[in-house]
Amino acid sequence: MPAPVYPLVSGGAREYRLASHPEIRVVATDLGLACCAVEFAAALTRGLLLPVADADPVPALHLLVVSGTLTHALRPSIEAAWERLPEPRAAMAFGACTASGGPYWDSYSVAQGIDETIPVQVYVPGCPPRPEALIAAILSIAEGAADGIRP
Amino acid sequence: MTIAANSVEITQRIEWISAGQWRDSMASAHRQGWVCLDVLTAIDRPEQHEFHVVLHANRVDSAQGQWWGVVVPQHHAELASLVDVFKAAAWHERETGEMFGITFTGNVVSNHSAAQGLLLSADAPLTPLRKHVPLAARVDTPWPGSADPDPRRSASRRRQAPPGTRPEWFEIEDRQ
Amino acid sequence: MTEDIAIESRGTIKLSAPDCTSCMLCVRECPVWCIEIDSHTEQVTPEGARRPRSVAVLDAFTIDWGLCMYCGICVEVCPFDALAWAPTPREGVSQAEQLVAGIEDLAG
Repeated sequence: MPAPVYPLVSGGAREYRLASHPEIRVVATDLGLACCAVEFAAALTRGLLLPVADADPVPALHLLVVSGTLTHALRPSIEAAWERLPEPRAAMAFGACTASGGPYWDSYSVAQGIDETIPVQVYVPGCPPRPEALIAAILSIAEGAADGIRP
Repeated sequence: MTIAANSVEITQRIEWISAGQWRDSMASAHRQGWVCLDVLTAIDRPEQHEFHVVLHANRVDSAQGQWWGVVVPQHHAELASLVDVFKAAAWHERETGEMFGITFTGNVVSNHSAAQGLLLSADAPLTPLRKHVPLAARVDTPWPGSADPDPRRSASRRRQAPPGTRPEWFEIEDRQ
Repeated sequence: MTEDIAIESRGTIKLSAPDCTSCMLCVRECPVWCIEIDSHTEQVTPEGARRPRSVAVLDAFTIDWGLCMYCGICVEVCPFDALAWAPTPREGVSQAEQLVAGIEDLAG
């Protein structure tokens, strides 16, 4: 029996601009799998990421932010979420769990990072990373920088 | 010890019930207002060959929670199910049964799932929360702490079990 | 990123390599096994001493920031205060291998 695919729509895809760089727009979906989701939410509540009210005809970057621990059971669903993203698209591994499994790397149920399941454009270290680190990583993807930007 | 967390007062004291009284005592507690099952799980105490099944329930008429506990021997890991007292026990007993290998008599769903492995994938180890079940990744990954360049430091001191492991996991490996 | 971050924030961990004696305590106490040390010993005869002494020479010290859970046990346990918190978090990287930081990268 094939593994089930759970639709992962945590708040859905929303268009945001960066408060610090208003010309940068992203359509971001946060897959809030665990605690790192709180830091993504903090970026919203602190106004570092601002929802865009008006639609812009210029296609924005479609960004999948994976925030939290990926279990083996959820791998097909992460894959499906990535497959659904139109170009231009990028995935961000936000936090230690998405890079390596983090503190749970030793668990029978945890995938040691997300990059064996979907391609990753930027890895943000932290447990959890600060909201500022999320913004810096979005900026680095949007500006096409190879190794992230200086904070 | 009582901890105040926001507006909920949580007592860390566990009220221990004998296994024979488990269902009746919890039914009585439920009648007395402890109606909201928060968690029912188990702790593996391998040195005592016991499971400590613990339950936390809250009141809804005041901000209070309490722990109850019952000792279940590992050689006969059976306990009365509480599904007819707390509907939510169906899920918790199902998870606890599968993770520890405890049978909750009267919970048809949990015993079925323990046999079928509804929560664990087919290649996961059985009863993974029992302490003798090794975390395979820890056993298979070389521990950076086993390297010690200073030849003067005694070999016995370097024999400490790496953090996150139990010595018995490696003894089994050595014997193979 | 730096403007509003308090100076005492636990943004990242820095290494003062000259203070490290390769005692391995941080490596052994790290719960996620993210620290690795490579070192060797050398015989050194201080001026005026009658016999040579063994000194540890640090060859490599790495922290895998993909694993680090920022518990700070390494900082607390170091007997020589070679590890310390610093407020500015590390930036993101494009390759997973770049998450492993060596002595130069960890310098304050």
